[in-house]
Amino acid sequence: MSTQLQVAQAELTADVRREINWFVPPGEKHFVNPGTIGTVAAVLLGMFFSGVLDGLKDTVKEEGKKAGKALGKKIATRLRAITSNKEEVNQAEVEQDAEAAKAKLQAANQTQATIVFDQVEAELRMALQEVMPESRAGKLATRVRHVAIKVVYETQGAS
Amino acid sequence: MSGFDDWYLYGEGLARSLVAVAPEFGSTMFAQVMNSITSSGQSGFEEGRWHRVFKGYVYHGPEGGDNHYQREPPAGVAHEDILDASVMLSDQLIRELDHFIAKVETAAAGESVQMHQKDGQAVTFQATGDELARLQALAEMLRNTRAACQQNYNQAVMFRVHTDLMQLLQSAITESGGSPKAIVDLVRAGAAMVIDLRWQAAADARLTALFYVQTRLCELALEELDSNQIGDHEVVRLASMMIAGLRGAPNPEHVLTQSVIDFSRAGLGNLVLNLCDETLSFAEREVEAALNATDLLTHSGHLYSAAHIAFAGMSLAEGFREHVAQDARPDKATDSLLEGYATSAEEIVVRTGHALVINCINRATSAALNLHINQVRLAREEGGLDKAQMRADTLINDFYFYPHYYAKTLMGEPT
Repeated sequence: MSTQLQVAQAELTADVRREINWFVPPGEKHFVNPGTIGTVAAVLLGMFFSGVLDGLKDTVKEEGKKAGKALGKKIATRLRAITSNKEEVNQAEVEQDAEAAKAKLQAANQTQATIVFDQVEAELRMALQEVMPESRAGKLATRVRHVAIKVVYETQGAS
Repeated sequence: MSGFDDWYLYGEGLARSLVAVAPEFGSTMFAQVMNSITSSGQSGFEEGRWHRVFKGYVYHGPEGGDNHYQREPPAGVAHEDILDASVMLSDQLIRELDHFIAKVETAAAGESVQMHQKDGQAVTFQATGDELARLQALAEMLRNTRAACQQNYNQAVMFRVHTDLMQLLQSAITESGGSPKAIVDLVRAGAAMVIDLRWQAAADARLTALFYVQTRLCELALEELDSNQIGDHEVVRLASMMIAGLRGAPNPEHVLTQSVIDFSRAGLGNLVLNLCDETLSFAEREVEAALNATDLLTHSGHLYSAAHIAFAGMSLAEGFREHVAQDARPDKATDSLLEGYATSAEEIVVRTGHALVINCINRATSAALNLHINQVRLAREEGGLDKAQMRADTLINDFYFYPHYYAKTLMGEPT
């Protein structure tokens, strides 16, 4: 894993640690393994990058077009599968998406990028609201965006 | 212990460890930690058995692995095969407190006593001047904590508060006609009495949480008066029921749950949900402040506060779920949210209670710190720097045992 992604994941882990219980299937055990918390952070970052990639496809063609795929309940289901140890995360996939998003963003201008970030953050927030209180979902989605942007722009200067 | 201050803080730490959550919980944690220290990593629980602890059940797998905690009784395990950890691990902490009270009382009388330094060496100590007054105050505090560990203590405090408030209630009705604000002020006055006891280590989290929740619910109801969601009469009725409910209740949790049910039945379930959110966030901020502390005293102070606030959040969410189960149509989304609040809050309760015991033991001997430094060293030997950092991170951020500034110490690096 690249150092920047590793640092970003560790940074996000601190936020996910506080929220991890919302992702645990109802009735399952307490005190989620610290390793699983890091995995959930990786999944959230991966989903954000994947959303950015999808969004860029649309906005590069037509600026302002609704970006990103609807994440809906998919995120909740996936995260619950991870906290139940029923699914593992492909770390390489997260890294690939991060690299691809980085490359695509070089072709996009600042306005296009901001539109996509806003839309993916909004979708992530809505998806997280499926399992956690609104205010917490908003804060976590914003943190994912913040950390993802740091990964993408590390070598390109500030967003 | 190396000096008077450490000794004093150890006494305060013992008292707070006992009442941070509840005496039986503190005792279990203390015994578990002491066993870990004295038997090189053994938890004090029987391996391969389920144990009843606090509000749930713990399974300890062989060689410290495969541990589980869950709220429901384990499926397929007979009731008689589950060990009661609070009984099994005895009242070690209370005995330690009794032993310490005797020493403090002797020292407070100006006589010399034997005390141990952090390296285990015994030294003779004789208090003088200002130290004598501080020891007398400490002895009194410890005796109050000891009293708070007695059965029916919480019932007695609730009864005392009820008696005081009923007298004031009469005056409030006569003098102000029983305005909502006047009655809510009475609930606040009751809470102030208990918060005062809390800071003297004479009120456990169950008792403190009850008065915290009642006060906040009443304050939130007062705010709703402006939006006409509720009338004056209803606020007065709910607050009066809270005061009346203190008498004869079996325990604080029962009264708290009843208050939550009363509010929910009055159509104020939204206030309860808001308070779940507010309370969990408050407890999290206290934990964050503890971890960012620059000294162990501040660290333990914030954890102590987080314990009863988180207990309040847990009890609120559980009480509301009980209401949902009793009265309302099942609403999966709300129930799932409440479970999330209850679980998150409960984990803070357990972790703060455990961390306060570690903090206290480290005042006396640094034995727990040495054990943790050794755990980090072993992790480094097994998996290199990353693994060692992960272990240190877990001890700080997941278990709250130390503030962040201890990271270097745990890693065995110069500070």
